[in-house]
Amino acid sequence: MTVRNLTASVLAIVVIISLVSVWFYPSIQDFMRTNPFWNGLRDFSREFDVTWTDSLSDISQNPENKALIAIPYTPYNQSDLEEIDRFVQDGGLLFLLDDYGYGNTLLEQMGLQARFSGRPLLDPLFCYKNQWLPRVTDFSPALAEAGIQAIALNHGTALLGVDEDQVLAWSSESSFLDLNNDGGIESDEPRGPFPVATVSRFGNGTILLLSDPSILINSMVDKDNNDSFVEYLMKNYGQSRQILTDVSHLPKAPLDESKQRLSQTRERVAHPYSVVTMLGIVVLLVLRPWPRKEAG
Amino acid sequence: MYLKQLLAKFVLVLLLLLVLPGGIIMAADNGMEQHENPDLATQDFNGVAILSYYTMLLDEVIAKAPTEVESLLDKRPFANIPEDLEESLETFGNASVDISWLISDIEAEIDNLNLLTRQFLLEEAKAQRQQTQDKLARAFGLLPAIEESAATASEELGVPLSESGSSLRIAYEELQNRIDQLHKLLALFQSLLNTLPEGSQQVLLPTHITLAIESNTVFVGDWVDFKGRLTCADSGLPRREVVLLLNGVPYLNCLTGSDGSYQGRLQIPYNYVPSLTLQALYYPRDTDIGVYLASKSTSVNIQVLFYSATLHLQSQSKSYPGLDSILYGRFDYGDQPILAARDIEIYLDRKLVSRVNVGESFEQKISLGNETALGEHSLLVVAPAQNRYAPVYSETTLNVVKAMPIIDVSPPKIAIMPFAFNLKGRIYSELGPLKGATVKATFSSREAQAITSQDGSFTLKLETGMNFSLVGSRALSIEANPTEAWDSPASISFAIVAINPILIGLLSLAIVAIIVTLVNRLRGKSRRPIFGAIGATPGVLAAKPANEVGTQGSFHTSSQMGDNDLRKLIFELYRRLLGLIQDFTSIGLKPNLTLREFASQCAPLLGPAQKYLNQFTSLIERLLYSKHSPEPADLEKGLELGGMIEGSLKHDRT
Repeated sequence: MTVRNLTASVLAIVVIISLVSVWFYPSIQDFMRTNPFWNGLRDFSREFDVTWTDSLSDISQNPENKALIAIPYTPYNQSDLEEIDRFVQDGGLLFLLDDYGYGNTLLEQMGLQARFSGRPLLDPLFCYKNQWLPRVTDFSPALAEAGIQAIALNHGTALLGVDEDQVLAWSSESSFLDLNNDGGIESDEPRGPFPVATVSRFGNGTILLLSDPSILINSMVDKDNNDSFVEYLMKNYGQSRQILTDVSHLPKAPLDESKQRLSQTRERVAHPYSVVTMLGIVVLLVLRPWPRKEAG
Repeated sequence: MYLKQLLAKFVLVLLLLLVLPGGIIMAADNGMEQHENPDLATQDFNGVAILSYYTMLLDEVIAKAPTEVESLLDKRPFANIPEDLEESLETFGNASVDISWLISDIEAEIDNLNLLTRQFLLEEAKAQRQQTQDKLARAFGLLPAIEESAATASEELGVPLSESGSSLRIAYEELQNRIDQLHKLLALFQSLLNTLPEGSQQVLLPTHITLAIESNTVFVGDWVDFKGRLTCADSGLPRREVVLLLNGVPYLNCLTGSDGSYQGRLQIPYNYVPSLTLQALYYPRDTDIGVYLASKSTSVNIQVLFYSATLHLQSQSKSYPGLDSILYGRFDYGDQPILAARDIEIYLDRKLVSRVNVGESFEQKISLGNETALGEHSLLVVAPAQNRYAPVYSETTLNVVKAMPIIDVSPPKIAIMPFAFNLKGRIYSELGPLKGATVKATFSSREAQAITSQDGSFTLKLETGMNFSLVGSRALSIEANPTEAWDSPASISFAIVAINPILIGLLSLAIVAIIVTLVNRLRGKSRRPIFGAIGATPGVLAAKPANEVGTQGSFHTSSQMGDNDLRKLIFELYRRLLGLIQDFTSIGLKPNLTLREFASQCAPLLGPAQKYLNQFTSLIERLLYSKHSPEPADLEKGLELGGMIEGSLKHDRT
């Protein structure tokens, strides 16, 4: 074996091992579908048969059959904003979950009054372990009839500027918005109840707002009635729709980027056109004229 | 072939692109924590919130809203409450639900009782009265459970240990206030019930009472004029006592005039709630019992106005133990009238430290003791309600640190041992010079101390001592121990080159002496031949007297020598000779070679000495392998042959 061949073989082995590692090594990044740990979305992804999309360019096709889950932790560009706006106008369901991200940009684009407060919603009384994990116990009659008694938030916020009849869930009277982020309640800090989940019509579509995306993470989805709450929203407003989750506005680690590229490539390679092309190349290589061996 | 390679390279590059990560995309860093692991989250109970929950339950009881009480109690499993309190809260909650239903029933039944009496359904009224009395007795029976549960909560949450005026204490006082109101409400029901007839033959006259107030919008603490009339069959009932109920609880009593009308003023309590309800109640007392029926006016809503403010606090970025810290505060009243002065209470770590009267903006000294722990402390400012101004409070943190002194000193770069050197410097911190601080300098296990002067300067003389090091880097460390609580101890160290000239001199002398001796000895050795003066002209085997050899060649050939001595001497002679030949020829005597074979290998390089070596080797072989006993002549021959070989080799070298 020549040095050149040896180098090529080693490089090929390294690349293959890297690919296998990237494919199988779990992500630890927040809200990643391959993250099986406390802050990932693997359980949610499996339970609701979620399709993950890293591009908003094609969501406007058949929007009435799609539900888009958006966790906007990175800024939207103008074309994304317009695409989502059109998607909902044309009958799509947008489930916008945000606390301290860029959800308000989208709400502004759509001309809605509702806003994510962006300040921590704390509840020193109705909470799981501490006030940063507030429990929401007041629901619209339909949700209450569906047996939803409480949902637990995790460092969430509140919704402002929403109509009362749009509210699906309220925080308790003991909750407050921690404006100065010191964990204590001051007399000038707004007291609850605050809306944390709303539903509203927009064009031909529907917008669901939830003021804490962390409700979907693996460690929270089984807390209180979080699971049933999300299931209710999906069944009630997104029944028989394909559930798409936008990953293009989630912060990603290098591993997640590689996983995403690998997944995209796999999909492209598995496409019939790619298969035909590869077969063609193989046939070409096999049937090409063999070079003559020089005598002697 | 080329196509194959190209394809392989393309696939490899593609795979590499897949594996190589892209840039890290991060969310905007707005300082907010997105979430925490709930399974690892710390358990934190809030006593004020828990006591407020108890109070909220009783608020709904007093508001005669039993379904609201139940609804609130249903949320109990989701409240963050210590396990030790759960049983007590359950008792409290169940008693609250029961008593709220009872109060609701009692109120309705008293109204029904009045109606029955008006309709002369006296038998039914009697039965109803008994039923209501039973319910009232049950309601009274539930009060101890509520009081005991509240007391348990107080103990568990540490209310008795809390400061007067603390938020925990205030929350508990609110709860006690609701329990008192509950007592009053039940007492009122009992009074009303007592006025109703017990006998079945009594005919009671219905009464009617009206209520009007001067203004429905008033400031908290203001007086409101009210008036009304108590009548029975359109005739005024004079000198009757009317009870005014504020939010359903007795608040004020007044007497009707000669025509049954009543009027008066009531002060809106300083509760700073946005609305109140006012109702007038008449129930028969004394001689009216058994004559008249009770009556209640329609409710009048009062909108309560009050001023609120926000309190902005700012503490100094750093505070120091033993020094006063300044707290800056400002009341923001918005477009409401500004209060020229109001009382504030300042709590440091929930302990009252100051109560002063301040203006719209204020600066307040916070005295910190010498023992104040370092770190963040809570600073709570409470401005109690003052007339039309609602209470306001705000909290900030006080960061207590110690000032880090700076030791400003320029030590010498070199220290000559064992001579002392002087050290001058100054110690100061962000709070000024350190006065009276103890300065300790350590160098090479020698110490010196000094006390800083008023301007923080110091001078000390530091001995360097003696030790066995010649030259090298040694640490000079200087420690400063301040006398003031706000200054932190400080230290600094320098690396100084220490030179020991005395030891260096002594060592140099010793080294010179050793070198000189060594050189002399080496010279002497190089002059002395191995075989003494035997060396003769190569090729000439000259006999030498034995005694001469003994003195110059170091070997004695005494006839008295034994066989063994002679053998040893001849062998030693041959061994030295072999060493000489190995040096000359660079051929080593390998273990597998016999002496003869070695002599043969060296022969081409030895020249004339070869035959002497062969003769000497034969002599050795004879001594080694035959029964021949060595004789002095053998030694002499060995010496002679050795000398010849050495002489021959020297000649060849030159």
